[in-house]
Amino acid sequence: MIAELGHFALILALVLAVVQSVLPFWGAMTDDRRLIAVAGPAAVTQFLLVGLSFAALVHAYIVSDFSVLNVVENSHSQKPLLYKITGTWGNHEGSMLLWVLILALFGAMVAAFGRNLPDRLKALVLAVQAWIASAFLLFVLLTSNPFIRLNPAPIEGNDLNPVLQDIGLAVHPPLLYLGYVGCSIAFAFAIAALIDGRIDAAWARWVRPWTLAAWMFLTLGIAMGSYWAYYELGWGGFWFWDPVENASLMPWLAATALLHSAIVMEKREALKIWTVLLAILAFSLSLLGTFLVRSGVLTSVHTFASDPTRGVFILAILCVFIGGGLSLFAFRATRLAPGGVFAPISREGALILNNLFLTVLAAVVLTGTLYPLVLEALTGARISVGAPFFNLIFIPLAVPLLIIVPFGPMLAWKRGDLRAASERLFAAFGAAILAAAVSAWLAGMDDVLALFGVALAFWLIVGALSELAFRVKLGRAPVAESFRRLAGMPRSAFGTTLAHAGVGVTVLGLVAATTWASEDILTMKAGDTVEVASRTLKLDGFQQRAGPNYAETVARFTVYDGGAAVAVMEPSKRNFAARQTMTTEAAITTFGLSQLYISLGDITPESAVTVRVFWKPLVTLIWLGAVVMAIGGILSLSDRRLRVGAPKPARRTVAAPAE
Amino acid sequence: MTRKQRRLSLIGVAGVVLICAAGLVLYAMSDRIVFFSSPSDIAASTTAPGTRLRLGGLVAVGSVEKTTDGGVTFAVTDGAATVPVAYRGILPDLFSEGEGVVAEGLVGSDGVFAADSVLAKHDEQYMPREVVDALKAQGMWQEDGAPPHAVEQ
Amino acid sequence: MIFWVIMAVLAASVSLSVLMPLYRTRQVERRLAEQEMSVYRDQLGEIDRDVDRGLIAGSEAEAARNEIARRLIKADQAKSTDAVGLRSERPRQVAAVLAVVGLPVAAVGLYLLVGSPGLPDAPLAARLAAQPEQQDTAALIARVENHLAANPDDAEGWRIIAPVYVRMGRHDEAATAYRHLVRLLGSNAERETALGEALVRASGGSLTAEAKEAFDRAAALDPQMVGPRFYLALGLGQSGDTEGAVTALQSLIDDSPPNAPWLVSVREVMARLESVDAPPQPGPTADDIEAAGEMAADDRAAMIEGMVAQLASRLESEPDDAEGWARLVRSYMVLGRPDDARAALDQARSALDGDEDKLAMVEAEAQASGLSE
Repeated sequence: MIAELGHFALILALVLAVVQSVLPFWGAMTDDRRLIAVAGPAAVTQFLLVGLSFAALVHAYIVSDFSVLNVVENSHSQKPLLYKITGTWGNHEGSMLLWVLILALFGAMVAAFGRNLPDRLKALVLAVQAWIASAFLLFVLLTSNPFIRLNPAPIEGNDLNPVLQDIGLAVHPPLLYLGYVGCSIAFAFAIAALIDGRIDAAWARWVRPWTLAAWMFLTLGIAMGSYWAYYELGWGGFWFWDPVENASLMPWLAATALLHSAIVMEKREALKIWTVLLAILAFSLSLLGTFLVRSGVLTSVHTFASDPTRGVFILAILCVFIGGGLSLFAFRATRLAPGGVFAPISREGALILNNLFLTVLAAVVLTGTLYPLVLEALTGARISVGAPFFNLIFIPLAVPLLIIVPFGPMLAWKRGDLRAASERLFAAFGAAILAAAVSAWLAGMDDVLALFGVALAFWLIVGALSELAFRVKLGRAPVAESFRRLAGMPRSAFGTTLAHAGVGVTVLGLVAATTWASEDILTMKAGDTVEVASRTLKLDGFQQRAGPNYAETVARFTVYDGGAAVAVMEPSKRNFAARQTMTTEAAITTFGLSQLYISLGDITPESAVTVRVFWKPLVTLIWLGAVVMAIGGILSLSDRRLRVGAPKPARRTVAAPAE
Repeated sequence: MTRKQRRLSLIGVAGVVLICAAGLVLYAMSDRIVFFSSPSDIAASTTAPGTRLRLGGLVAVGSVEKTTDGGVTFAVTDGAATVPVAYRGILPDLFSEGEGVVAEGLVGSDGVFAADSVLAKHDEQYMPREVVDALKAQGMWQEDGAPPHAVEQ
Repeated sequence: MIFWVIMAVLAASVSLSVLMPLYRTRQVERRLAEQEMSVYRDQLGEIDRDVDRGLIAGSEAEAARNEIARRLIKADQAKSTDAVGLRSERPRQVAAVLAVVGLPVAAVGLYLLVGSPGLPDAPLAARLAAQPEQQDTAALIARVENHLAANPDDAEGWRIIAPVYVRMGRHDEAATAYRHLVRLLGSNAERETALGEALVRASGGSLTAEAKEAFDRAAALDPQMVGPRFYLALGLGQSGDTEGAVTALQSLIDDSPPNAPWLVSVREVMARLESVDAPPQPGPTADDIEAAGEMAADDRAAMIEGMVAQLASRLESEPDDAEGWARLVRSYMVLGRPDDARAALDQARSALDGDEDKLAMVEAEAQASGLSE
């Protein structure tokens, strides 16, 4: 009964979404306040319905209700409870339901926290949101229904792909979906504003917190996915330029651009047309990502299942929303009045450069991702576009962008002084040179590009901090004065500093972990030792263990540093009986910011094992940098200036004393 | 600076960046992409030794041999032709005889394909699309989804 | 019934969520630009704060103030055009009909189209706990499997499950079950033969090394047994010793009664071995194995139940078989029929009354299998 109620709730949600698509829109067009008022409660109810439906599916997974086909295909009664729950979205149907749930969640949040939005704009935003929801609910119900029942029910399920039985899976897709779907809000705002015909600085302020939230979740989701691939796939790599990774990177690049252009629009009312276009593009790229993953057009590690009808359906959704959005844009954009003027050397100019590079980067990633498809359709030739292609293009285009990052916040609005800004960045420049010199002394001059990379990383980190130092007049005023200023700084200023410094931290991790990493592949027997990064690794022996739903062979290694045992590492090979599959569990130990990584190959009958040992210096910085960026996002989001656009009634905040 | 000049300088900068990006993309497309081949393509010797390729097919039954130094040799077949492959490193968990595989590497002058990465299907329902196409071309694919298992060398 | 009630409540509350705002919102005139203007006022305040903190210079602040003031004035002018007046009742009525009639009808209609109304949930735990009579075959097997996973030394459980696996074609698991039986009950010709057959079937018809060892042991224990002789002969044929295979099969035919059921397939295999033109056979066909196995194809659940019922009826006539009683009690427990187990224990007590040793054995068994008093 619970499963059937979940099914019914999902259908109700679809019907309600259709109602929510029509009534508020009609109301906004005819200025009928009563119809407009339907939007908010409908959005909240829709979220409750989809939530009920999702809860019903999770329940079916928890109790191993094998009368639900989706549970049979992706679960097993012996699976640990945690993976029964996370398995709910570890498959195509369940993950699409999660997608819709998050979409409904954002709609409900706009309804609940968007009290300060003009009612008409809010109604239009929620109507557009409901169009998207209707399309995806229909998609779920018609092509990917997780509530299809079986009678009689089998006694056991097929189990979840063991690679996906991991805590990373519990976190990575929801985070990424929060990011993807968050972009839909910016899209809905853009479409609503285009329909309404009025876009101004206030619009930019309303749209910024949502974009910021989406960007934050995308950042964390991508980082989490990268870390998951790093430790779970056993290859020691953290980014493969896999089409699905690209699918999440493109919206991130677009959202980052949108975040910056919305600042220009809010402060100066310039770049209106461009910002609206970016909002449409960011969501289009999110949809494209969903299409690429779900349709099976591209084969990749992440493809759960491929089914032509699903691909065609999502392609249709894609065409309607992207095509419709862009047409509306083309039709309405010319009516938008141009905004404030500014000199090329100014904060606006720097942000335009940022947008230029970010969109070009998104465009080349898109080209590389779609090129194999186009080429095959045209000539039939099958090619693979991988890391060599993307590294060659992405790095030369990203470096100039990163070089100009510290300049941006140092320049004034309207007309900036490049010389003054450069002088303020002397410290950052000095730090960069010093860092490169120290790395050259430590690691040698063999890899000049890596030294440049280290310099760039420190340029970004110290450059971001310099801006803060300049604003509090550090060294130019008494210390007490600087402290007073620091305490008075708006939180969004810290947000900017942290986000920019986080980029530097990630760059440092990327450079160090790719250039100075070591990799050994060797065959070891119990008692053998190997030297890795001035430490000694000894294989103590093998051991058989039984997990909840697998049997594993564990190789036990002890790490000695200067004769003393400092760590025990236990990589293993797991055999999942239900699917007759083996997985390799790598063992990772962190030393400071660096990691030692061991992955096992085949164990021969003579008890020798092929071992792959990586030393990854400073590798954790890659993900820590992303976390720093996200913390910057949270700080900005908590800034009262952005909150004015969202949760609190404006009158009270205006009267409130400065924080 | 007038609005017009401002706009022109903006378009100029954008143009330079776009041209650089386009140039990079074109260069990378001519140099950094990898074509996919089936064993039959290689047997027909349409590819010069030293070309970087992705080779896809089924691992021939009984062909997997471990060498003493941690390397492995196996043969990839599409039913019509078979290509020997040498690889050093750890094979993916789901690598096994009679199953689909994609190897990326260089064609040696001795006819042995030197792979530097080997990808296997990642679960039992999945088969790399290139492999499916290659097998279909040789009439070895059965539409029920399962690859024929008894592919002898 | 309750399902339909909940469904109706759900649909009604959704309708209500649309109706409420329709009828509770009053059609007042409000200045839509008000909220927009508050953002600009806030921006002005922000500039004042920035000037206070010395974050921006006075001249810049003045320019920014002018700019924002211009936006403020523009928004204020726009507000007068936003005035909303009372409209006709028509849209509200249409919307209400949509909410009250259209919404539930569409939802229920769609649900009847794609849903499975009335199909109850089937959580695994509840299915396993249900009475055996109501259980499906799969659940019965799963129950025995769960029991064996927890008590791998329970020979009776393995004895029940092994032939079931054979019938279901789960030969690997059947081989495992027979291995356990050999381990727990010791080697005898029947068990070794059954193990060998399961292994041969599991390997798709070829005589693996393990299967050959099993048949060798069986043949050593009972040289006249048909199964081991047949399979060992097949093995000779598979390893290329056609002559040896034919000789062994001929002697098997000679030793068999003329109407023995296995003769058909023995002769068939022999004919194949002898024919010169025939392509080399990888092993016996599935039919061969089926014939050699001489297995009936009963319903699986019925078979398990049947075996237990057989044991029960045998004990009716031979009530002093303590081992039999113990096995019956344990079987009922394994099948999840504690009431029957208790009844059997009572019967055993009366049947074995006076024989303390035997009774103690049954009591111990009952306790071990979880039938606590």
